[in-house]
Amino acid sequence: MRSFETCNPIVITVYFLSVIGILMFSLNPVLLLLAFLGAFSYTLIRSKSVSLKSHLFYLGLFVLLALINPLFSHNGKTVLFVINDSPITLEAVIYGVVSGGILVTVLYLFRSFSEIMTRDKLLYVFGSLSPKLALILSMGLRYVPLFRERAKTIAESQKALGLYKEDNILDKIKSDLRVFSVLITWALENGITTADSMAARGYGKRRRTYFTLFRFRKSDALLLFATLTCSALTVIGMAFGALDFIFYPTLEWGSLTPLGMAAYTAYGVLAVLPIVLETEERLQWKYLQSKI
Amino acid sequence: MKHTLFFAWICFLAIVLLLGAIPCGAGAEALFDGIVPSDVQGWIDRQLTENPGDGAEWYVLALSQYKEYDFSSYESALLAYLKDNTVSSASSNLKYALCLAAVGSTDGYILKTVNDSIGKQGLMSWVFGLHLLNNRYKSDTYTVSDVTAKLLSLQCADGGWAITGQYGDVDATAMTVQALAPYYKTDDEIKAAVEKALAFLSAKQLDGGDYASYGVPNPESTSQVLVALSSLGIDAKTDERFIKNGNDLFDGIETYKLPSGEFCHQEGGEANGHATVQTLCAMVSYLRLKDGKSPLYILDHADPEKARPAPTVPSNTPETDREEPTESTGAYKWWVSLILVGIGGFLCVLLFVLKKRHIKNYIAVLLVTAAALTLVCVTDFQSADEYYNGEDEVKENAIGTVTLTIRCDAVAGRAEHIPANGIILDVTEFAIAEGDSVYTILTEAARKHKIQLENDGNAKYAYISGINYLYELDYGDLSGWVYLVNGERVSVGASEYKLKDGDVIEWHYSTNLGEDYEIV
Repeated sequence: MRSFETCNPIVITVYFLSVIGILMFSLNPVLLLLAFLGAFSYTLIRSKSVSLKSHLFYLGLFVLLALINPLFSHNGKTVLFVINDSPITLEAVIYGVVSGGILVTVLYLFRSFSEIMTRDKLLYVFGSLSPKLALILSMGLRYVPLFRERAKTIAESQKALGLYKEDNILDKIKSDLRVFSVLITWALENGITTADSMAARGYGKRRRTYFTLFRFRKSDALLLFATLTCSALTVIGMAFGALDFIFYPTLEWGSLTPLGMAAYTAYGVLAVLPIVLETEERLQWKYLQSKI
Repeated sequence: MKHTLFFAWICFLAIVLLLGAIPCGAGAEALFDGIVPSDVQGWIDRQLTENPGDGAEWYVLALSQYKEYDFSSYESALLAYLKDNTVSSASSNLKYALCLAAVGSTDGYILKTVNDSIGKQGLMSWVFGLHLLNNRYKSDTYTVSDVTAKLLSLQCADGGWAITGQYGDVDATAMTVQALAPYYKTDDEIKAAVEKALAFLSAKQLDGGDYASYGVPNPESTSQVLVALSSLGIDAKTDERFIKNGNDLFDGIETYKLPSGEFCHQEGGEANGHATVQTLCAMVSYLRLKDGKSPLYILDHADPEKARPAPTVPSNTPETDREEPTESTGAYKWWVSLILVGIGGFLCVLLFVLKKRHIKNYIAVLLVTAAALTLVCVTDFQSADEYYNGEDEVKENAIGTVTLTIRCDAVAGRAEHIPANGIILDVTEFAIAEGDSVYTILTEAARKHKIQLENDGNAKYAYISGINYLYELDYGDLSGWVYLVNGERVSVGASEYKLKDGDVIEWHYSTNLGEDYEIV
């Protein structure tokens, strides 16, 4: 079998859409845990580039989201304490933890998705559906790294001009704000330039052709089948209420039925699929190397 | 045959003449035929005893001052009622104490109320408190002269008294005069104040001899004036000041009498309990004047010497309970502030050691610390037990009481957290202060009865999205909470509707945008 990222882009897209879709519509802590473990460890295994700083950013985001919910929702029977006449409840805290966790997990998944799905792959998948969508997706996903690059360039030029002060906190914040403002100005201008440039090259005048080298192999079919089977099992479990988890007014979950068990297993398999494929491929690579 | 007819005619004439000649006292007595059934003792033991806390008090007070009856069954019923129900309103407490005193009870409730409730809820709590003091019950907190001085200071410029506002109200004025009456002849200052009040009342009397309250002529206000006059020793039938167009107070009251003997609140209305019982009080009061007895509120059976002392425990606990939380909340703030300042100081030292000694670095640390301190100051942490303490808020300048009900009949029993009978909070009385809104009382109820509440707006513009874990949109797109004041929906937000005395608030869960309740 091939590594996950070299599979057919359609299969990869279907996989990510199923994992994210089920996760977002379930609000179930067990599914969240499975998805998070899968997404987090896949990011660790695959992309060495993800720095500790960005993991910390996700952690901070998660804490913020988990704290915000109990401040705005006061539903729930277990009152922990009261701030300014607003009760903070255990149920609201747990709901915040779960929804924050889901958001962070989805961010991790999207991060892997955008790294795996390069522009040609996106065009291959969405090009036949809607070339415009493909273009927007590929341009949109490109913006985050592009902006980071730009910010760095701007900061460097500011430093070269002697406008960027780093010797104290207040001036640094001020300088960073100037860099941010320049970046926004540039982004707006860039939008116009891009549009002009695309118009000048005759974009949208006629249907364009493109060439891709992706083939649908037997292993792709196998992966697609596995993805769809697991998703279907999970969705059936959800539809029959086997995965129901009620937060308000008290935490409630049904006893674990065989259907529920099957659904959890299926989603667990779905979540670890990329890791399994990746490890297998690495082991193959390791053992097939000539040991002379 | 002719003789018989003639004799009958003579008899009839004689009866008519006799009726016309019956002295005024008897006329007053005739007025309350039909209010009280013929078997008075049986009526006391059954109907009145069955509803001890619910309007029977004034019947009992009036009857106890009228003739000798046995009220022992009623007394025990009322005491049982007071034991089972916490009465939040100070005025109501005083009213029950007065009723107990009237039936000659020696229960500790009377002295407890005299000590705790006087002056706690505006004008009426002073008036009822003075009635009890007039009956020689001793209060630890106020003497008679304290209370009379307070009442004189509350008198409005027009000579009347009012529960709220600066213009006198007939009922409030008459009831205050009733309480001041025992000192009318002995105290010059009180005499002057009462004379002013009498001038006020005389001016307010309508041509029919009756009085109006809030623009509506009614027998209750008229009855209160009659009680006041009788208590002062003024005969309402002869005093020129209270006869208008040849109509005296009795003519005024008679207008509202129904064929059944009961009274209605407005002309042409249905029989009304308040109207009937207050007329009874007025008649008893007048009869006592005619018989040369004490005023209505100087109780024949009151026995202050034998009154048992107030039970000490319940009256003291609220004080200590209220003290402690404020101390502890204050304490935690000091500690957190101290820790924050410590962290700030530590960071400054760190900056110094790391040779980042630019002045702006220190300023930044100072700013962040100040922001954190402000946050600590504006937030107020309380434990769940402190917040839901189950106690009434003490209102020094209460202007009256309102009742609050929270119901969800539309979805009763549909989920585990929704009560099967649809009642989240049964009719409960709350004291209100000036400016209290529907939202204020709702939050007070939530704190006292531990009801969960979700406000999507803020304290100034409240939007109640959920009560008792039952939220809007839980049962269809049109479901949510609506509130009614005095049975009508109001077109302003709950925090903008200012309450007045006697308002009846109802919160209902509606599944059709509140259309089951009429909008006015």
